[in-house]
Amino acid sequence: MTKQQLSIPITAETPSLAKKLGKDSIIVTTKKPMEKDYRKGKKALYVEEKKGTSFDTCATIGSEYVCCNVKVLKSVTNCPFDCSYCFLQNYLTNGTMSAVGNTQSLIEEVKQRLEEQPWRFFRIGTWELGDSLALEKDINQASELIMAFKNLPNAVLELKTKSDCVDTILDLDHGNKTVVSWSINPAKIIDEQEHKTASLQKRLAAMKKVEAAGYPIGLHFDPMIYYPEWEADYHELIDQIFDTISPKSLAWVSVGSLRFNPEMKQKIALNFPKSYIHSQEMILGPDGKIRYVKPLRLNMYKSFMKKLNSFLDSQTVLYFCMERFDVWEKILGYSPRSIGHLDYIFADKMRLKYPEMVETMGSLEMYETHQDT
Amino acid sequence: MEFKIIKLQKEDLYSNTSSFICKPIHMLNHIKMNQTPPDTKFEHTDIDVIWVYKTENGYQTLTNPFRNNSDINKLDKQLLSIDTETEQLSCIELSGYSFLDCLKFQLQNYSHDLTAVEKIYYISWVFEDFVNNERLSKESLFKEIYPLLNLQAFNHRPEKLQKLTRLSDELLSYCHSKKFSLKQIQLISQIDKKIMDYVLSINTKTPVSASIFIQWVQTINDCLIQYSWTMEKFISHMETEGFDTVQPTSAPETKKDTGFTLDIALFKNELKKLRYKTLYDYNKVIEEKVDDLNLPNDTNIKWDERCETPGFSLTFNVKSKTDLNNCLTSLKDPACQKKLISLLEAI
Repeated sequence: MTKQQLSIPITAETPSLAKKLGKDSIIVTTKKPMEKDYRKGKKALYVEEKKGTSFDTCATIGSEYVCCNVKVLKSVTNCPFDCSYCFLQNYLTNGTMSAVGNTQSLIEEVKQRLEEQPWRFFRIGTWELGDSLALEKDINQASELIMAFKNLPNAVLELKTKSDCVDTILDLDHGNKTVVSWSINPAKIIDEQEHKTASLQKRLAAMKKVEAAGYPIGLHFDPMIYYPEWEADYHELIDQIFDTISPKSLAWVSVGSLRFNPEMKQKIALNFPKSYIHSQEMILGPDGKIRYVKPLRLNMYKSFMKKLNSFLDSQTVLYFCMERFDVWEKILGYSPRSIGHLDYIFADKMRLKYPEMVETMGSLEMYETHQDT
Repeated sequence: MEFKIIKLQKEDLYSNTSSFICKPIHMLNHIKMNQTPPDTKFEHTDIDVIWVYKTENGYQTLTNPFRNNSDINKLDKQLLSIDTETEQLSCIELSGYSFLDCLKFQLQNYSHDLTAVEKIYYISWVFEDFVNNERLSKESLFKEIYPLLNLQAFNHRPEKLQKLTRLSDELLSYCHSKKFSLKQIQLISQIDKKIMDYVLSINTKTPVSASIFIQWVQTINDCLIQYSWTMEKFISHMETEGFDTVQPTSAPETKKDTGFTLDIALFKNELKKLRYKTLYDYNKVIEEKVDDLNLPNDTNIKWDERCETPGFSLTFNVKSKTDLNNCLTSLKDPACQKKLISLLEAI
């Protein structure tokens, strides 16, 4: 593949990412090299052709824990950031950081998928294996997707990030068909665990810009991390966010506690010797993930949700990511009856809040019947 | 033939101590350390490489090869002499063979007998005597030696393996005796030495299995991180809870014979209580609620002690009509029903 064949302009003259990575390292290639070390893989960005299927369902889908059934578009792999809890350190067989260069092929795949279920409202994120915006200055991929999604029926693009790389998307005509969302934590956690990401202040500043540009905003308080001062810090975080943006700008808010595969514990200890997150009171759940013991989770959620709920309007979708039905019940007083039901709730609420997002509304029965697709 | 773990302390050979040598050859040999050190009786002058081996009870043991006579230091001469005194030593001259050839030959014959600890010592020795002296390239080490020891996984991270060689002799001896895998040794190598020493001190009083050893060092390590404690603080806590018997320095030897097994059981429980304090307290509350139900004997209530899955299972062991009536009467009692609902809500 040559640069000309790519739909994105990458030139040797503007490798801002390369500068950030400390390498002269944006490489256009038909085949990225194998790099087993996920950290070494972050030092260069390979831009390659889309291979196989990129459209998928979020990998965390399970039966005992409620999944929101969001769809993902695997458009980037690996990430310039270095979060201690990141599952990629134990997931990627090839750690070489890469982005799909021919964005149009991604769009074609999305179109094809939407046509198969025209009744369905699709939320589609590009954050499954990386950050949706961290590389944007160099690859321009999100911008192309934003423009394409504007004209796609019944679908919304979610760009989830821990960066402040929003300047290049501010002037785009998004048509309320893209939600820009942040994975966010108190400053202490960002400083200690989310290495190389934008600081809380920078994320908040970026949030303000995105709000001014009219984008619906998503917030993901996930993973919530337990430490002695968690309660005061998470409460302060909520205040800081709503001192910056209006709750009315929110499309959805998710909350979830730290969880990881058992093998991750040793990885975290090895890769982040100063981290304490893997040694808290956690158990292995029936879904094979290690997470805080339920009484501790309930305690955290109860306090946090009480504060959060005081800001949110009824049209904003507030949901737990991968939590048990009984936890929903105990904290929110209700739970979706199925994964399909939660997916339906999203469609219903977004239809009311952003009518341009949802043109055709399928029935709850359809969502439940097809929840595994 | 006896096998022992050997520590590399060349001077020890001359000081009549009970230390050992780490060279793999001598790990496989039982060397009598109190033999009179011979001086310089070994006098080959015309060889390039020497290979020394002996056979005993079906085992072959080999010394390391030397490039020429001048490379034979005092230690090596002594060892060879010791071996010579056993009168089972043969020497062959292998002119023209490289160190790499000799190492490979040695490993092809013996690597399958080596424990993980012996492999660690072996690599340490090769690094020290060959790689560091530029007698063997790192590339050859990784490409030709590591595969023979099944150490390919360390090719890109030799420092990880070297880190293991810095573990204490006491710990490595323990790992050797319990036949720890490399993965297990790697796992514990990340843990503070003070924790190891503490658990090893328990082990000297009451030997624990490898799995318990690993479980304890990991749990203590987690507790220190969880509570931001120092090891001293942890020991102090355990002492407060009545576990001075396992304190490394003050543990009276007599405890070993009097009820120490019980102490270990309590120790395990205390560790669990400390590590999972929320769960421990939570389960205590549930147990109290279950006791308060006053259900007939042969009634069993089980719940998920991890507190993750809600609900409980209630089973009655019914052998007669009387048993059945007792159960039904209990369940019909409004007070019991109220308590069961309360229990269900709590779990």
